[in-house]
Amino acid sequence: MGGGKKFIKIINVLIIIILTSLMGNLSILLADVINVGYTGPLSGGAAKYGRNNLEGLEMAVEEMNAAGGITVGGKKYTFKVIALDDRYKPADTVTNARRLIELHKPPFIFCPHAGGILGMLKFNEQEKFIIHGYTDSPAVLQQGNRLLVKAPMSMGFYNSGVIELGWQKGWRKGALLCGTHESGKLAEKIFEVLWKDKGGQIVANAPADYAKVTDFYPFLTKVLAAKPDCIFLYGPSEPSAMIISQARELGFKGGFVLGSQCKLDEMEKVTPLKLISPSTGVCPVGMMPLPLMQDYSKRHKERFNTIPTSESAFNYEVMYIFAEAMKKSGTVSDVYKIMEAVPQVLPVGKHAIRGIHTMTKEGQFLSGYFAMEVDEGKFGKPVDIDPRPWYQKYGATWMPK
Amino acid sequence: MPYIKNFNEKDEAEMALFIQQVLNGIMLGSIYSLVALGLTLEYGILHIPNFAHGALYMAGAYLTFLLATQIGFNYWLAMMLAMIALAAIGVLVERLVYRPLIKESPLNSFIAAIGLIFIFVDGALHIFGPDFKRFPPVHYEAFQVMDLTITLQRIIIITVTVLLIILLQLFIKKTTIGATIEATAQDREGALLMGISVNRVRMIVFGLGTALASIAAALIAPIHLVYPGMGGPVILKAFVIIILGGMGSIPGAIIGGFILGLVESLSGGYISTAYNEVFSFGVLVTVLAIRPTGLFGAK
Repeated sequence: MGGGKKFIKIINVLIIIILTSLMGNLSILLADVINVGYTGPLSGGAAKYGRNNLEGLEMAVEEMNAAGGITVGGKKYTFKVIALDDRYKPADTVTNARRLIELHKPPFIFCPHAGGILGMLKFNEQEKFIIHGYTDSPAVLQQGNRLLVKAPMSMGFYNSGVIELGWQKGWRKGALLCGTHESGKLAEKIFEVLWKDKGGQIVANAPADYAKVTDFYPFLTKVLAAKPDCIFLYGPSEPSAMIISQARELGFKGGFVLGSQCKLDEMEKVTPLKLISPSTGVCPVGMMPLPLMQDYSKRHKERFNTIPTSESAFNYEVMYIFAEAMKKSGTVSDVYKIMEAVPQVLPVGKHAIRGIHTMTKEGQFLSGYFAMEVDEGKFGKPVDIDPRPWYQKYGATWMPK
Repeated sequence: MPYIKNFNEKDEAEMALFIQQVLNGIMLGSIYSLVALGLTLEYGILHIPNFAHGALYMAGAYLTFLLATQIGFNYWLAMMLAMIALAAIGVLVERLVYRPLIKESPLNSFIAAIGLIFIFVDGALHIFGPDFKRFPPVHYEAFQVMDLTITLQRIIIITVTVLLIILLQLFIKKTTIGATIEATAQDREGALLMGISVNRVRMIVFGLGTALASIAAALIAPIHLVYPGMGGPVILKAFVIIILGGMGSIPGAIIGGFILGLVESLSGGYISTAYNEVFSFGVLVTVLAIRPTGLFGAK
């Protein structure tokens, strides 16, 4: 054997030693990737809402990947989020979903608007993907689809809490000034039905397109002429805050019942609490007495430099639920098996930041919920409201007639 | 006599409500008029509608917002500076986007305008984010006169609009530049023959149009919100107004603006607010049925 051959032998041995030591790391480098799809508004008037949803999902995926991915059936997997903009248009949602299925085969697709979700429900069982539908609208649960989960609870339930608090403050004559978008119209009906059920009156109704209206004075002038005790608002936070400002300018001293889309912490940045008082609304996610949620808020703020909302929090938790369900069911592709495992993994330990504890037969997740009052320039104490009694009474698919 | 007393009180309240709605309509009309004025000036000189007018309006709002909050300028100073900047941007847009397309089909200018919209709106989205931004409260003192409420900012809006309208009329009718603008708008070839630098006139007028859009945006910013999509709804109304008033007509834009403001306010107050746009377009269709070129449109 010449010196050259010996040299080659040594090199071979060295290569084998290096490769075997890399094996441990290689398994992560070679870990299979599970694609997670997202289709929602990332531009246009609802861009912020779409972004909030996506951020929760991205946060969960980043954390899971940083921890080395998850192990399902002995194999390691990491996740990849593929986000597409559908500009809030259901037709685009469907196009995006088909593209995702064609190119990336995600077992999960997240979507934050009822129109898009309903579109995808028409073919998700054939194409075998689970939808997380982030929406207040109960309509999505009425399709009998077996591959759907929905984290936000019913609009009827969320708004029943703030209405109850308003009623307890002694308000009886209510006026409606809700947005003309899909959920705004639904909220308007819910307010009317639940308020009248309690014995209250609706003295005026002036729906407004919160995004397009230049000046709310004409709407407020009409509403205030009927001398209401309180005004029901439903729409994005900042325009809602503007409505309150302008109502105070016009001399309104009564209260506001803020629907579930109005986020008090975002509103506070536009209009001081002193002017918002007195009112009732949903407790801002960052102020909920849920320690896991507080911790999440901090991390979210550091990562994205935005205030986390229910949108981010729920999508974060649902992604963890999906991951745990995969682990429990032992499969990353049999979506029906994964769905079966979902109720069994609730709550998902330290990632249960919103406290999802139950799933109804339609796929509705039940979790913690707090309403609160704003009085004399200060937030009141969060009032804990258990969803189970309301859901037992009305059911997950209740919609006002 | 209690019966008559109650009757008077109710009457007074109805009257106050009506006047408040009229006041609301006039304020709304002022903003609409300003935006429509800029648009009609641009049309008068380009003979092509500037679909990117709403995007430029939005740019004016953001610039004013930036100057007033990040740099801390006084509101009026911020408005002036933004106006000058937008005038400059307007001149650039005319020179670089519309002028090269002057001999082509109007469709090309339309497509170019859509491109501009994408650039401005996406740019705003990336630089400022999709959030609604609140302008720091300015001139929010409210005046209550006999059951009527108006804030200082709204009084300013109406006053500035009226002032600008008067100034514009004086400028067009009483100055030489104004005369050249009118001449160019009426007959481009004739103006060229007279030795008027048509290119310069186009740039001046376009800059004026965008400056007006910027002022309108700066005026309304304190009572509304600033966000990347804010140009859309405004530009739609502005087009309704200039078609209603007659494209290229200044009095048409002004009167059209106030008509639209009043229709929106009164129809919302007395019939239903949900059908705002139905009433606005209803008026448009009715006027066009009687006068197809608009109220003051050229025959």
